Amino acid sequence: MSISDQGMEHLKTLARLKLGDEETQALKDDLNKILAYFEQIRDLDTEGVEELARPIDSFNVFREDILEQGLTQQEALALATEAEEGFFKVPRTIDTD
Amino acid sequence: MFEPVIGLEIHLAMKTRTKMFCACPADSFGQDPNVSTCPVCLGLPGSLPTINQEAIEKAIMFSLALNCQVPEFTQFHRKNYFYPDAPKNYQISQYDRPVGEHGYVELPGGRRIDITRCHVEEDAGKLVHPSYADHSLVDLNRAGAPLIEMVTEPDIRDPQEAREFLGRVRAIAQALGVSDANPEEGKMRADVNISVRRAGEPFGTKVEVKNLNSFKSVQRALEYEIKRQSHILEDGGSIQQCTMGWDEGGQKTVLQRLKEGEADYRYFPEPDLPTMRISQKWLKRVREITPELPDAKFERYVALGLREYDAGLIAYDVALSKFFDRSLASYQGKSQHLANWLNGDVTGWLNSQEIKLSASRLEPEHLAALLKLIDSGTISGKTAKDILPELMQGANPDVLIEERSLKQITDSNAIEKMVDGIIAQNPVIVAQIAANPKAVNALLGQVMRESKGKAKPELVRELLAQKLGLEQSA
Ligand SMILES: [Zn+2]
Repeated sequence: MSISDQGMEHLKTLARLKLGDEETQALKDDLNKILAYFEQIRDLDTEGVEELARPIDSFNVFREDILEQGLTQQEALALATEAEEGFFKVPRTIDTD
Repeated sequence: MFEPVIGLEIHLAMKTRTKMFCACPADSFGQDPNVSTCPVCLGLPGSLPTINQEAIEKAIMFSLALNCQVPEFTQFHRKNYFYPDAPKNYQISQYDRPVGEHGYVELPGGRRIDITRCHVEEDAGKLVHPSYADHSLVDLNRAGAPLIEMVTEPDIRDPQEAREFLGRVRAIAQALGVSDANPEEGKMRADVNISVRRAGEPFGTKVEVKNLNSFKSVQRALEYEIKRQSHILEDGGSIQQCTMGWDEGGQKTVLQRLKEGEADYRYFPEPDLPTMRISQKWLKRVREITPELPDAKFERYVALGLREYDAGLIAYDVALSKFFDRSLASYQGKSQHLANWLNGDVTGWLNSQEIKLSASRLEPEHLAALLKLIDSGTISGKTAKDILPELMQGANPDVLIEERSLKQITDSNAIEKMVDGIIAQNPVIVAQIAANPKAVNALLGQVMRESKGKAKPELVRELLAQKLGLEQSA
């Protein structure tokens, strides 16, 4: 099983990535290697084996609803590539006007 | 000729102190941007989520109130999507094991709307799009805030019913204290799924209209889509499955994007969070601490002797019913009398000022005191109405009537003097009364005026009848 060109375009759209032909090809090769590995896993007989989503068996581990000090605005924005008036600044996400 | 098929998806901001998976404040309405964040809700590497127990408990309580089945086992999933309002590039939500399933809500006419599911998830941040710019701004205060998402079956028949249903859901959420459920603050948001079909035909292609932030917008958006889709089909066209937004200014739906498939979200069990098991013991405890539901309030009010109409107005408005209960406890009089005042003059005043009961300074005990003053004949109904606006602003009626000597004149000697005076001054009217007994009302009015409204009208009427030799009519 391998990924189609159409599949690559769909993935790029979902991940909101703009990639050149070369980058797309390199990513496609990587993904195909990963898929090949999953093919091997798929060959294993898992009949009667229950799904294991988490490696540990604990449940009902909760936090009480008590406030704790978080980050200041300045600390939060210190990590941003760009900030403006207390907001994170990002490329425009919708078309208006 | 086309009939609509409507389903709703409602998001309720849960009323907890902290966010769903971290200890930041859950509610930062009106705050500066990015003042309620931490490494967890910013999605910083190495941070790990922890489950807010209070939020799970509230979701269980709400699910039970919607007559949902609450399974023994529930868990979180990751929903993957890339958008700047989701700092982790996924949203922690529920998928195969929601907290509640297969419930229903009963509407006033007895119609039942089935609830498919009720699950817990985290909210996204807020995006701002300055109109002049080529960029967008992100506020992550809301990112990670606890939400309940509830989804209905496509059982809703028309836009009006959708609105009624939203009202019922809001009343339940507020009564339980699960959510403030006020759309103005974004604490209740609805997406609608709407298709139309000819009667008896299978479901048509549905369109989703997202992020409707008032009950009125839900109704309008549905009305608009029913018309739009019907016209397309009448003209022989077909409906394209898509996601629309509601343009409040233009009062129309606008295309946002063609629908993403569910597979595109690549759901998988959240590996950073353990599963949850909801024991019978836990369910029992939640049932025990569940406050009285609106339906139960309604029945209680009707049993108290309220007319169904008034009982409905009060029971399904949480603020009003809390006020009513407190006021009635202090009044101890006829519940319908209290309901008349609350649903009549009090509501009228609030509407005229365009404020909510909670924003007024009327005390339940003050309204009770006012009614006691009327019942005892200490003040007239008219005086009560006159001073109500002051009560709405916090005045105590006992103090007011004392200060302004608004007490009714019940001293029959004083009234008799006034009655004698008015009879003497109006020989013409007195002469008319024999032919037209109703003319006595003119005299009654004059006595009332002379007493500045303070004479007890029943007493005046009685005295006039006596003096003029009229038969007392009730
Ligand atoms: Zn946080």
